[in-house]
Amino acid sequence: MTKRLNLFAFICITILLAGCWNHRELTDIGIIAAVGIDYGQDKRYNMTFQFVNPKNIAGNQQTSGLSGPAITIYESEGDNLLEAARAASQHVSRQLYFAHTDVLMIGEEVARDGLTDILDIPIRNPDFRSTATIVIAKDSTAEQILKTLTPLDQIPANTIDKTLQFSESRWGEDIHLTVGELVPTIYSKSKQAVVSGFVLKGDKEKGKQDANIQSSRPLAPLNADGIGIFKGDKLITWAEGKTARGINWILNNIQSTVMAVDWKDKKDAFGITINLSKSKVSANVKNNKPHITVHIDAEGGITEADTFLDLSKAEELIKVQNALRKEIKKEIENSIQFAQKHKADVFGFGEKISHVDEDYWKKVEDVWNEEIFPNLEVKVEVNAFIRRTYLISKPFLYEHKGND
Amino acid sequence: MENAKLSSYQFFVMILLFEMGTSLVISLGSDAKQNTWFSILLGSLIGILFYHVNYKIYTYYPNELPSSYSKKIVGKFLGSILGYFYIIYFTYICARVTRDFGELLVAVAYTQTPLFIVNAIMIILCVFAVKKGIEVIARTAEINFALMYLFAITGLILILVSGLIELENLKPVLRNNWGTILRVVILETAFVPFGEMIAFTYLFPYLNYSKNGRFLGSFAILLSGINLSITAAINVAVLSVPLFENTQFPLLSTIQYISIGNFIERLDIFFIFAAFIGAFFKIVIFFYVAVIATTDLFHLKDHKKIVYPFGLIVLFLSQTIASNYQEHINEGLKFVPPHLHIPFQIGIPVILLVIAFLKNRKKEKNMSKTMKEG
Amino acid sequence: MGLVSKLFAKPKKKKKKNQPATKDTSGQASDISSRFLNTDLSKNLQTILNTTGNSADIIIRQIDLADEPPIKAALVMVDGLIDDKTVNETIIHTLLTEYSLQEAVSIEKSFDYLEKKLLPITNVTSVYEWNDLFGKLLSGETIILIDGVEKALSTSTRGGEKRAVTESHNEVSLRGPKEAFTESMRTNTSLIRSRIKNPNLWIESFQIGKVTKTDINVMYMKGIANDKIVKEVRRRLKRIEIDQIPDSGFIEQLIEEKTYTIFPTVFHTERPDIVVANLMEGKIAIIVNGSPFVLTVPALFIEFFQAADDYYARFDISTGIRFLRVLNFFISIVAPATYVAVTTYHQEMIPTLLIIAIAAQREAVPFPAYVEALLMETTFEILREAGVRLPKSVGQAVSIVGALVIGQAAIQAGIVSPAMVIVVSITAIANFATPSFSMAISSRVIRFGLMTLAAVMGFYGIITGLMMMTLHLCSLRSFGVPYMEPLAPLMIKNMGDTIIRIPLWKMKSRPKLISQKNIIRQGDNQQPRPPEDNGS
Repeated sequence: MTKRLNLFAFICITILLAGCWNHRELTDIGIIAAVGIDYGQDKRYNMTFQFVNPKNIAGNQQTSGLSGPAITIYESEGDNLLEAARAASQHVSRQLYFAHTDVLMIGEEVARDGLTDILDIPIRNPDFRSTATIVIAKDSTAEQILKTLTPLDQIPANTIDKTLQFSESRWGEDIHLTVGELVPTIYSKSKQAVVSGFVLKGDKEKGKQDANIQSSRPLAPLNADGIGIFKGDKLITWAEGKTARGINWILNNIQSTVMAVDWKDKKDAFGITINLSKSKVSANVKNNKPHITVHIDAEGGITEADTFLDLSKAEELIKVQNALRKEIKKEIENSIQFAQKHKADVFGFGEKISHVDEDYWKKVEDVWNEEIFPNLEVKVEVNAFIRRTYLISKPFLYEHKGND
Repeated sequence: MENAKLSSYQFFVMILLFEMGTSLVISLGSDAKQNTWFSILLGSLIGILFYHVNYKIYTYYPNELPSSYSKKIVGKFLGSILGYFYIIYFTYICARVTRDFGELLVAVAYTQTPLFIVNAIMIILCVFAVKKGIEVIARTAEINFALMYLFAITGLILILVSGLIELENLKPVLRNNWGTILRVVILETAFVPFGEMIAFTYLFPYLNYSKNGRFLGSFAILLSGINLSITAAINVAVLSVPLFENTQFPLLSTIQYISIGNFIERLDIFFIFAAFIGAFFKIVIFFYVAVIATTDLFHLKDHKKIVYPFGLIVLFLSQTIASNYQEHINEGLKFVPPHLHIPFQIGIPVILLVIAFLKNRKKEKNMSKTMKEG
Repeated sequence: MGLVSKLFAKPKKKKKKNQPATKDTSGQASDISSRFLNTDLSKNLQTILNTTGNSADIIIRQIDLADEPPIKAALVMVDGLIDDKTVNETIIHTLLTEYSLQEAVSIEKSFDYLEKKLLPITNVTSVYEWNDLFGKLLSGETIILIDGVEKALSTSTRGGEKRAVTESHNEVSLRGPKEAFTESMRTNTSLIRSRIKNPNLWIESFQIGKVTKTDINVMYMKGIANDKIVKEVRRRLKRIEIDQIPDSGFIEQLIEEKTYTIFPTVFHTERPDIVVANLMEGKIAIIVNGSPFVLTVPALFIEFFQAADDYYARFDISTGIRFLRVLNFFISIVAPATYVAVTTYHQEMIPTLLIIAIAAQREAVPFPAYVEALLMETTFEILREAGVRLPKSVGQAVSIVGALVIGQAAIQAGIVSPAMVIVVSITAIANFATPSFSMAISSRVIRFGLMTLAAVMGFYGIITGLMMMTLHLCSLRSFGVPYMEPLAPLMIKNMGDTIIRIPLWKMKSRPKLISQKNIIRQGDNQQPRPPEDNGS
């Protein structure tokens, strides 16, 4: 009996000795919402950490009267990212905690130099989640953008993340990319990477202060702007506006967007909301020549009509539909030409070829981007349908206007 | 040998959990890239073959442990040596799996905790379980099996709903890759985890209705093979080949991607649950088999007395078999299969089977002769 | 360990060798010089008075039965235990008036005459020994002693104050009978008997408790109950050698399978309908005089999650509520541990907004999460205990005000965080939802263990703890039946009544391992259907 008790006590002590190596109180960790990477002095890395200040988040019972900004920015330099991150512990009174980091922002300068050095740590470190959004700071440093306070969200990282999400799903000119999705494309020969960019307009200095959110219009608003095209791991150029959207058409990233169709002599006469879009890229290789077909299925409805056309008749609707198809086709072809000009296959055409004919791909993969892709013939088929015109059929207001 | 009986369902469930074990969570056969699922399936078929070999030997000597019937087959001296080597083999594999699991936990969640502590807790639990006996382990297996399947189905539904699966990533399917696939099968998947069924030869005597043993085992191996290959296929589909090849724990990466409605995310804990249950059953069964083999070989009265020392041995062995995780993995892929798995899992059983078959035929001939004469 | 204990040992006195502790029974009933009654009435009466020490409630009524030949008799009874009306009207009245109306009877024949011809009493027995006499006297029977006869007549006149059969306070049901057991054993057995009108319902009687000699009845359905288990129950009851049995709880602890376990292996209830259902499944009921809680053995883990209402309602709602109960059990053991593990080890599990909110709350609290959890849980246990002891009138108000005020004040003072209070409240509420009290107290103990494991190793600790608990549960047996049946070993036929509850007409067989024979309890084709010719 006593022997059993002894053994039991032994075991209990062992378990208690197990102690708390990984024990971290909530008050000891600093929750980092966003990380920014730029170049510091002598091409060392300068990391910016956007810490969340829980006390200042509104809606908390425990807040004392004073409130400051909901986030605090700390910077740190180092020869590589790990060093920079740990060196920050010299001036931050918390353990850095990356598990809630939603945004990884990379300065444009660093992106143009190559991302490979940076991307190892997010996928190797168990703390860092590969579902974090990756963004490039366009025409500025990540530090500047991360320091900006935003009016609608208390944590600016949320602004960046959510803006990208909604823009991708409602507008179609940006891509919401996670680190995990980026990594396979960075060094792949068959598909080049694309990353969204963010730009800071307005008064950058005022953006850091409370003044930015005290006025009804933020003095330094954050904008999602353009898609960065990569070759290998280096940023080479930006695709903006409709070109960016064209890329998204092919990548099957469009969930909903608006297309404007010219009619007769009125520009952008019809506004069509696309609700459903699906793209299929098929490839085949004939006589050692690759052929790619891009097939788009889209559905939408007319949500704005700025000129008169009797939309109650199906044939008229079909005319607008054809115009829509032409418009989409034009956009996509423009994007393809853009990518071909920059010799970067961001669409994954090479990947499709490798699925279809592996032998051929093995022969050409090294020269795909430089030689074959720029001269590739791509057939674009658009099957867009306009299904409805919503609450009214004929734009009768214009009917009468035309008669004046 | 204990005075215990296992029902068919308990046996089946134990094999299933044992086979899925840690293989569910580590990268099994990932050299075959997008065709990993196929090499796992092939491996399971070969595993069924191995199982049949072992079971056939058992049918010649029903209700006996391998350490006793190997004495009958090759003589007392050689048989004891064989039994002794098997004990060491099982202890070593037990330590390997413990190390696997400990490394997983340390890499993923408990980065600052020493490996010794994580392993110690698992070993204490196993000691506790083995002291209670095989019946308790079997009953616990039944309950855990239901849990495991609940997790698996929930996980599958969540992955599907998240829209993470891109079937494109599985292409090209089975083209130009046969060399790699077969190499993976022959060197890896047939042995780990399917060949490790050799441990169950020590559990055959406990089975209630031994006629079912062959069918149960084969079915369980097949089912676990299907489970593992589905998991591998989903991993490739979600992660795409380059990421799949290079991560240490593909299932974890897949689970980390699940995000539904911005609310159901961060489900790594279920990964740890699944890993724990699988690893626990693998470790406890190897542990138990090693203890029982020792009890039988050295004619001890009670297996409970040697459990604690065995626990310590396994614990320290798990610390010392490799100095870092890469060495551990490489050893397991390059050194262990040809030098350990082939002889112990298939070499020796085949030889035993041949000898037993010949002996039995002689006996039958003698018997039919005496019957004719009589 | 030897070294440490030597350091702290006090110098021991040399003990005398192996002197067993003696049971000093001098001056007690077993000390009477002779075992049997005397023929002399006055001597018998003297023995009675001496043994009971002239206790004030012993009544001795002397009667002259006849004058020629003179036959003296005395009635001995205990005031308070007898039914006065019966004694007055049936015994004394009959003896005084009707005895003399009969022809003269000799002393030798008077006893038989009383026993067989005169007294209109339901039950009479002859008593020869003192032990027997005192046993019966103190049970409320009236002893009639006749001068010159060396035996006494014991007549059943049991009465005394008993609690009426009322509603059950602890096990309330919305639908179903509301009667509850009382302290009187005979009332309890009658409640069960009246519900099973079958001669196969057998009752065996025991007297356990060396000093208190409490009556115990064991009931079972012959032909359904497993004879091996009945034998085992008998064996264990006979083994008991304790001096008092104030409540069935004592019996439970003395016959249970394994003492060093948190989980109960004997089921108890206050309601007759539950006992009847259990008897019909082949279980054995143990009724203790003086306790309104009836025990049933063998008990399985799943039984503690079943309530009577489940069977009287429809199967879909019952299944849903059963799922809820299992969920409640889990929440009540795992919730505080999960909170501690997640906030100290696995912060990545919580959505970002929530972690920020909790972090803000914890900034103000001086304790680490584990200490805070421990504090709150202990406080809650104290409150609960206090709530039980408070008199009814004050109890409700104090507990509500106390909880609210203390909770609120503690938060404001910054001693605990609101999240912790929520976790503790949810745990407590989930705990109350467990229908069986014994299981609920088990979960209280387990909760603390899991909290400690969580504080030490985070989720890994919790999983290890749960696995240990599962291993332990699977190794328990209750009177030979595996505790976790029908979950493990899996018996699909018996799974109809576990977490789910299949429709009543589908439950065709009794649990196999408990009642090994007579398994079919329903005919086939019992599903209720409208008649074939519908409408005409």
